[in-house]
Parts: sequence; structure tokens; C-alpha cells
Amino acid sequence: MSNPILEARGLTKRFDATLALDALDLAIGPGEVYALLGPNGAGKTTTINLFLGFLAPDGGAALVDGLDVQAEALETKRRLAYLPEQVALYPSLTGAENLGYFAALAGIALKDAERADFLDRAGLQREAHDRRAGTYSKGMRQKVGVALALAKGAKALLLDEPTSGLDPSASVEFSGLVRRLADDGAAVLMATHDLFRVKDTASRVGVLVDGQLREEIAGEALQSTDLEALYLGHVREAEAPVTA
Amino acid sequence: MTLAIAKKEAAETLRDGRFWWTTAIVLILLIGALATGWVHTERLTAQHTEAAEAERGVWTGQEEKNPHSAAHFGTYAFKPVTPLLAVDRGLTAYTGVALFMEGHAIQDARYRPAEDASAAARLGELTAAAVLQWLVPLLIVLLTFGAFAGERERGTLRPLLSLGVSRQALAAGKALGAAAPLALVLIPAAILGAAAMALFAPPETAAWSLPRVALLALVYLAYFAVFVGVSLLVSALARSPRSALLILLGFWFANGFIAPRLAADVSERVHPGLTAEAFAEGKAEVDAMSWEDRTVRVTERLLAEEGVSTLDSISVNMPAVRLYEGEQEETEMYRALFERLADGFEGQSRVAQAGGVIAPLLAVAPLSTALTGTDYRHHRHFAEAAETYRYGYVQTLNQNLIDHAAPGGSWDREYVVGEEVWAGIPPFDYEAPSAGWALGGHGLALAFLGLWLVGLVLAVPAAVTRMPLDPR
Amino acid sequence: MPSPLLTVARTEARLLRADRTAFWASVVFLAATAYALASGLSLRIERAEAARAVLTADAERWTEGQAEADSIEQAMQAEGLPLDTYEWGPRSPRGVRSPYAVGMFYGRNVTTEPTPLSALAVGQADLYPASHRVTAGNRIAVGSSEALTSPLRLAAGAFDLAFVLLYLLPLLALALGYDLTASERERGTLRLVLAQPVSRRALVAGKLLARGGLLALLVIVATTAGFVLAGGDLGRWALWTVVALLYGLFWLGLAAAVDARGRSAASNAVVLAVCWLGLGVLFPAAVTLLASQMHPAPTRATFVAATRTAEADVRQRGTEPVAQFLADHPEMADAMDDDVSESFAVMAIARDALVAEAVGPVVTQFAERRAQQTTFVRTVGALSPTVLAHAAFLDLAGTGDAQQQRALDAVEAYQERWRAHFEPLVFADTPFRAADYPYAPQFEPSPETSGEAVRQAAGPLLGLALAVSLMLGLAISLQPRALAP
Repeated sequence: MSNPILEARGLTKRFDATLALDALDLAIGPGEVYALLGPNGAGKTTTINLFLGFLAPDGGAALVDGLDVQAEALETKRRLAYLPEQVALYPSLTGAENLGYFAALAGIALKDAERADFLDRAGLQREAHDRRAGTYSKGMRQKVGVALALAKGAKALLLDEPTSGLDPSASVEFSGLVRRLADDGAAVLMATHDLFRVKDTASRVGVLVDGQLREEIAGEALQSTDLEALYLGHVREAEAPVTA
Repeated sequence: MTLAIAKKEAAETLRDGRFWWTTAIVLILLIGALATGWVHTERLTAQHTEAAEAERGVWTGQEEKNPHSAAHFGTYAFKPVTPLLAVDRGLTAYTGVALFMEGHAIQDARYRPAEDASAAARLGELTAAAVLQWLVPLLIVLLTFGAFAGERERGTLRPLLSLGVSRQALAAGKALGAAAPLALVLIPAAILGAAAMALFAPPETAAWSLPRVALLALVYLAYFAVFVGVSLLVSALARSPRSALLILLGFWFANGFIAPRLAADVSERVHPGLTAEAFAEGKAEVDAMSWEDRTVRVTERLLAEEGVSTLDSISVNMPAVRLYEGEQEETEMYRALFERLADGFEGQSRVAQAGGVIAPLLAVAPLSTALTGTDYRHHRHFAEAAETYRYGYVQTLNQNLIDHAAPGGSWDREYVVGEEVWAGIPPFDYEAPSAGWALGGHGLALAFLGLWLVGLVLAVPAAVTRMPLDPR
Repeated sequence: MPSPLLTVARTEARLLRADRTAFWASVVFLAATAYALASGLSLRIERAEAARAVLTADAERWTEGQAEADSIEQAMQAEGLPLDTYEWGPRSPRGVRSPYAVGMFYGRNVTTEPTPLSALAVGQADLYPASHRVTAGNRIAVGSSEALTSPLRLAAGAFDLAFVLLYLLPLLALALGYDLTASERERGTLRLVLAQPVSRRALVAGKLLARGGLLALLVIVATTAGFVLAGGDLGRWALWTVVALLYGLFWLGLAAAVDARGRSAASNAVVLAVCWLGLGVLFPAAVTLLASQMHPAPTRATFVAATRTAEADVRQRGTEPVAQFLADHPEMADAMDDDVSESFAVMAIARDALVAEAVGPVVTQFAERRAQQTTFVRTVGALSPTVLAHAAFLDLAGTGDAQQQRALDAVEAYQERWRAHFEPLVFADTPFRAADYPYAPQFEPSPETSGEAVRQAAGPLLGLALAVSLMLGLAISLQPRALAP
């Protein structure tokens, strides 16, 4: 692949005695949506934290747009957009004000019209723009997060369990948004449980169990796989006692 | 059920390393304060005893002179040092240590220790009272703020109650479980302290101190119980553990540091007592009583009584009688004046104690000073005893003059007395009042402390009954 | 595009408006300030009035005395009597021409007016007598007015602006700083913030700027209100405000440093409460205790015993002290009128001189120990910002140790001059004429100038500046980089 935007080279992370991530190798190029599947504690959030620079790797490196996350903390964050599982906003500020603040932190000064535009494109209804974020539903807060990603024009998108807690129609809407962002050239890393939407959204799927990437499926092979069976198979294998 | 909860709570606390080293700090500070305080008390006591002996020597060693001159020479009474000074300094730094007793005047004790200390001393000195009134309540708050709020947040409260534990049992169990580790540490410490006193102090001191120490322990235990209660109450009703903690810290701070100062300030405004002007006026009144008037009165009376026409024929020395009666009148007026002053101070103290309804420390601190013998009432007791002695010895000397001076209307220059009269006046022997007397003047404080306890015993179970079981 | 730091600061300021803890802490602080200013001002007015009453009464008595002396002299002249005789007094007649009555019995009452800023920091001023009676022949105890402030009030301390700044300002600062990043972490917003290209240091600095700004605003409002109401000069106001700002910033910095651990806000509150109790309350108290242990001043009972023994000894010597005094002061011997060599006034003067000499060492010991204690407290106590700020506030208000000592020294100096004026008159048995009244020594209080006060406060100020720099530096540099929000 030419110049992956999101790259993990032998990325390793240990927490005390536990090996949370075991020499992960990953490469996600522009326009790709990579779904990272795995049970709780598999290392999905750790991977995202490593790309964000929230954690320092014990081995290997995480790279964003060719830059090492540890060495170029601020630059890599400039090129990233992050959507946590719970997009926490400042409750006493409006959605628009929240967007303005985060964008300003990212070095982007947004005029009022620009803010409204990004919020519209993210799917937030007009009436909600100037309501206090304390009144927002989860979906609405997420849309502000998406608006921020749009405003940043980020080359890479990190999504942590984006559809958890969303009702089916909101999930569909969100998937559509992700595909659009990918079509615009972003590389998307999506950590998720939601097997339902993965086939619609992702171009490649990786199964992460106990810090190791067990399997990767892409393209037509992805469409024809029974993801559930595959996923459960890997999980049970990991839980099974090691035979002598 | 209650006991099971209490045991679990206590076990958790005792297993917590933080409990042990905070307790260690408390004990180290307590021991440090008490030890240095004890050294200080010993030194002061020795110096006061020495001074009193020297003063007695000066008194009995007076040369031969007119007895009334001795009343002008006067003598000093030195305020005894309470053995419990290490526990609570109270007001001792702000009341005089030496009281000058002479004829024709009553004075307040002189030389307040605070005047000889640096300004930083006004920030407070480290005594056992400081540790017990400020540090231990903070620890109680830190140990118990999460009693209910923490369980609620963790989600273990509802399951606990669904097991069939009654809310009352839970309240009692938590209270007991919080109190037990504290008692485990503090009660032996108190007993050790009392034992040390009983062993190392002279018997009369020990006999005087031990009932007071016992009562002090009770008062402080009640104070800690109040804090456990308030902590549990807030924990039950607060929105979150953090909210409970902030409210309790605010209460602890306001109670410990704002309330005493605010109460003293407010009580001074509400109950101004005798102003400087009024006091000066009172004194001026006494000074204004003219000698001439009294001479005329006494002369007339004596002449009438004895049925003679001139002073040369009377059987007593008129100036001596005049001195005696003058002392009577002046003393009466002075005593009334000083009584008004002292009553003013005590009135202010009572107003401050009334603040105990909002801040428990305003009830406990006065009780602590009363039981250690460092409150104003004890100073007044000493001052009044000294005053009784003063009047006694002055009038004894005046009576001596009446009995022995040459009869007539003029001052007897020849009559002098010596050591037999000086030594005949017994030294000032002050007996410090009992613990019962000490508490007697602080009924209001005791009442409020009691009210707090009763109120919490009622409020905590009520709050636990009504408290929400799930985090909001 | 403004720097991330300023962006954070601006939004943080917005957010503070909705913060309930910050709101209530600010309200309490301002309410307490208002009460403290009212209380301090009324106290100062009371003391000023009392001082003025004493001075007026004394001036009246002096003028009346002069008038009476004048009329007596006129009467004497009319009768052709020589003016070099006089009535001894002090009662019936009042002896307004008697150097004994005027100089040794009545003397003069002197007061020191409360400094304007004593309304802001009562300090030691409530502990010392309002007025002193200065007489000749009584060196040991300069007669002082009765102490009429309730000991309970003295022990509790005054509710003045200094108290509010020393105790409530830390509360405000800690309330503003304890959840610097902890609340963001607990709310979840920290994740999204740190996913943006802004360093933790910039974030913390920005938040500190906003919160410190609010703190500074409240402090400046409080001190300015105080100075406007109490009436102080610009130099002292500036220094007082700087000290208060540094003090507040210290606690804010401490809160930020504790917050840098990355634990919960509740945990921060716990640690900060303990820190404040330790550093702000228990440590100063321990230092004072240590000072009195290391440099124990003898109790005044010892002083009294020494004085009384000396007095008794001197009295035993009959009239010999007079001879001793004359030997020590030959200039008096020449002018002395032999008739009065055994008058009790002359005896009193002579005895007083000898007793003062005998007791001198004890007095010096007291002063030395006190100086040692004060030095100890000022140096070791410098580890606590509360001790530093307290010293600075009192020095600037003119109610600290140094200023009180200075005032007492002025009274004693005046007593020296008074003594030097009247003793020769008593010895020579010359009357104190009506014409002499205007030439008797006058009391000149010399309060500390602004410059001197500033110099006194400079030490604590520097200490505070150091402490604050350390704290804030620690807070900003300690931000753990690898801790996931």
C-alpha cells in the first residue's frame, strides 16, 4: 500500500505483567475503513490510545501519516480525529460553542456560519445547535464529534465503539457518514463489537483477541464470511485451555 | 446484623494502610504536644512556686513599720499553673499571672504571657486540644464520608438492602464500624495518658486532674461521635461521594476555623459588657470619694458614740477607724465594678456558646477549657479568692492599728510592728475548684452538645430510611 | 489564531461561571470580606475614640493644672509671698505646683493612635494597653491602663481582613484548583481535549490562568475595598495586594500539583485538606511551640519576684540609696536641697534607680528571649506560607511585633525624658511654676513610615514569591505525560 495513514509496526504494550498488545502490525490507507473486532480486554482501546499518544508503547511504534506518534505528539493529533465511545461535551456550553472550542484547540478558528455548516453536515438539527450540550442525547453528542472531524479535515479517523448505544436508524445514519468520510480520503480505524454494521461500513476486518491479531479479512471474502461464527471461533479458541 | 456490618466496616478500615499511618501521625502529634506541654508546665510551676516563696520572704522580711504601710507595700499572688495546660492552653496566655494585692485598690492580674510572645503565637500553639479538635474530626470525615455515598455509587447499596438488612441496622452498623477503629486507638491513648499522670504527678495534682481528664475524654468522645453522625448523615443524603466530601470538608472547616472567631466577634457586639469609658468612670467614682467627708463622718460618729466633744477624748485612733471604714466602702465599690466587668466577659462567653447549635466546636471548646482549668471562670475564681485574701489581710492590719494605735484624732507616728504581725498573716493559699464546679458554668455548652448527639441519633436513622439507593 | 493556552483560558473562564463550587467559594469569600471590613473598621473607630478620650482628658487636666497654678501664683504674689514654696499635694490640695505631684504622681497619659490599617489587621494591637501613664520614679512598670478586651476575644482572634486572607483565601484557591484536570477526566471531556494538538502543559497553564485570574480578581477587590475604607497609602496597598496574590497563588499551585497526580477530584480534596491543615495550621503552631521550648522566656512571676526582692533589699538600706544615687549622679548632688534629702519623693527616685539597676538583667533576658523566639519563628516558620503572609500583613498594617515594640520604646523614651526633666526639680525642691508647664516634655509618637514597613515585609514577600514559583513550576512540569486520560 502506498503510504498508509495509520500504521502500527510491531506495536507492543504491557500493563504490569499482562501483555495487552503483542507486536501488532497494521496498515490503513486513505479511503479504507478498518474494523477492529474483539472482546472486552482484547486491546482495541489500547490500540486507539497508542495512536492518540495517550499511552507510550513498550515496543514498536504507532505512526500517523508517516509520523511517529511519540516523537511528534502535537503534529499527529492535528491529522487525527477521534470519536470516543462517549463524546463528552461541556454541558454548560452549546453544541456550537463546544465545536468552536475543540476546533480552536486544533488550531482552527471557525466563524459562526462555518460552525453551523459543519454541524449540519454531521447531521445535527438546526434547533439543537444553540442548545446547551447538557441536553443532548448520545447521538447528538456524537454528531458534534463528527462535525469536529469534518472541521479538522482529518486524514485519519479513530472511532471507539461508535454505534454502541445507538438505535438502529441512528446506526445506519452513522455508517453512512463514516463511508462518506472514507470516500473523501480519510483512513478510518473503527474498534467495534457491532458485527451487524461492520459488513456495510468496513473494507477490512481484523479480529483482535488477547492483544494478537488472529485474522484479517477483506473485500469480497468479507462479504461472504459469517463474521459471527468467525469471531466467536477465535474467542473460544483463546478461552480454551492450552493443551499439552 | 448490625454487628456483622460493624465488623466488616471496622475490618476494612483496620486493613487500610492509610488508617494506620494517619493514626500514627495523630498519636505522634498528641504525644509531642503533651510531652512538650508537660515540660513547660513543670517549668512554670517551679517558677511560680519559687516566686511565691520569694514573695513570702519579702513580706515577712519587712522592716518594722506602721501596719498600714505594709498594706501599701502589698503582696503578690501568683496564679497557679494548671497541670492540664498541655492539653488545652485555653485563655491562660491572655490572662495575667501575677495579681498585686494592696490596700485601697483592686487590680486585675498583670503580665499576660501573650504579651511576651511573638505575633505568630496568635496563630495558635500546638496542644492536644488542637489535634483533637481539628485533626481527628478531619480524619473522621475522611474515613466515613463514603459510608453510604460510596456504596451507592459502586452499586452495592441496593443489593445490600435487598439481602434483608434493615436500614436501621445498616445505620447502626456503619456508625459502630466507624467509631470502633477510632475508639480502639484513642481510648488506650487516653488511658495511657491518665496513667502517666497518675504515676508521675504529685498526688494532689493527680487527684485534682483525674476526674477532669475522665470528663475531658467523655466530652471529646461525644465530639467525635457528633462528627461520625454528621458524616453518616451527609453521606446518606448527598448526591455523590464527592459531593458528600465537599460538604463535610466545608462543615469541618467552618466549624473549626470560622465559627470560633465569628462567635467571639458577634458575642462582643451583641453583649458589649463594660466599656473602657464606663470602667474609667467607675474608678473615678471611687477616687472621688473625698477623705475630708469621711473624716467628718467618722469623727462625728465616734464623738456621738462615746459621748465626747473632742477627738482628744475618744478611746480609739480615729484615722485607723477611718482607714478601716474607707477600705470597706472602697472595696465594695471596686468589687461591684470588677464584677460587672467579669460578668460582661462571662456573658459574652455564653453568647458564643449559643453558637454551639450550629457548630459543635463552639460547645466543645469551652468545655475543654473549663475542664483543663484554663477558662475565664477559673481565672475569675482565682482573682476573687485573691480579693477575699486581700481584704482580709488589709483589714487585719487596719484592725491591728485600731487595737493598738494611740487614741486620738491624729496619726500615730510611733506605732510600728514587725515580723510577728507580718508572719501572723497566713500566706495566700489557693484551692483550685473541682471538676463539678468547672462544668457548672457551662450548662449551655453541655446542653448543646447533648442536643447534637440526640439530634443525630434521631436524624441518621431517619436519613438512612429515606436515602436513595441508586446513584443519580 | 490565539495560542492553545489562551483558548483554554478563555473557555475555562466561561465554564467557571457555571461552576457551583467556585460560585459558593467566591460568595463566602466576599461575604466574609465584607463582614471583616465592617468589624475591623468599627474596632478601629472604638480604639481611636478611646485614645482620643484619654488624650483629651489628659490635656484638659494639664491645662486646668496650669490655670490653677497660675491663679495660685497670682494670689501668692498679691499676698507678697515668695514663689519658691509650694504645696506637696497630690490630694487636697492637688499640688499643681509640686514637682512631686505633677511629675511623680499624676504624670501624663500617652496613647498611640491605632494605625489606619489596623482595621485590616488587628494583629497585636488588641493585646497592648490603650494608654500608658508616664511618671518619674517608677521605671519598672510603666503604668498601663486596664486590659479590658475580653480574653475570650483575644484568644479567638479578630475577624479582620488578614484573617479572611489567611484562612479563607486558601479555601477559595483550593476550591478553584482541586479539580483542575480531575473533573475533566471524570466528566470525560479530557479525552477529547487531549486528542487535539494541545499539550497537557498548555492545558494546565490555560486553566490556571483562568482560575488564577478569578482568584486574583477577588483578592484585588477585597484588598482595594479594604484600603479604600481603611485609608492606607498606595505603597502599602500594592505590597499587601501582592502578598495576598502570592499567598492565594501558592495554594492554587499546590492544588494543581496535587491534581497532577491524575487521581479523582475527591482524592485531591482529601490530600489538599490534609496539606492545608498541616502547612497552614499545625506547622505554624508547632513552630511557635518549638520557639518557646528552644528559647524559653522566664515566666513573669520570676520577673515580679526579682523586682520585689530588689525593692525589699533597697528598702532595708534606709536612706543609704539616696547617697548611692547622688554618687551615681553627681550633677544632682550639686543642685540638691538638703532639706529634702529624706523626703519620700527623693527616696522613691533613688530607690527606683537602684531597683531598675538590679532588675535590669532580668528585663534584658526577657527582651532577648523574646527576640530569639521571634527570629526563630520568622526563619523556621518561613516554611509555611501562612506564617510568612501573616508576618507581612501585620508589618504592613503597623500592628506586628516590630511596630508594637517600637511604640513601647517610644513610650519608654518619653518616660526617660520626663524623668530627666522632673527629678532635678524634686531634688532641688523647686516648684513647678505655671510658666514651666508649656516646657514639660511632650510625647511624640513616631509611627513607622511606609518605607520601613515595606522593608520589614520584604523578607516574607520574597519567601512567598519563592514558594509560589516552586509550586506553580511543579504543577505545570509534573503533568504526567504518559497517563491516559
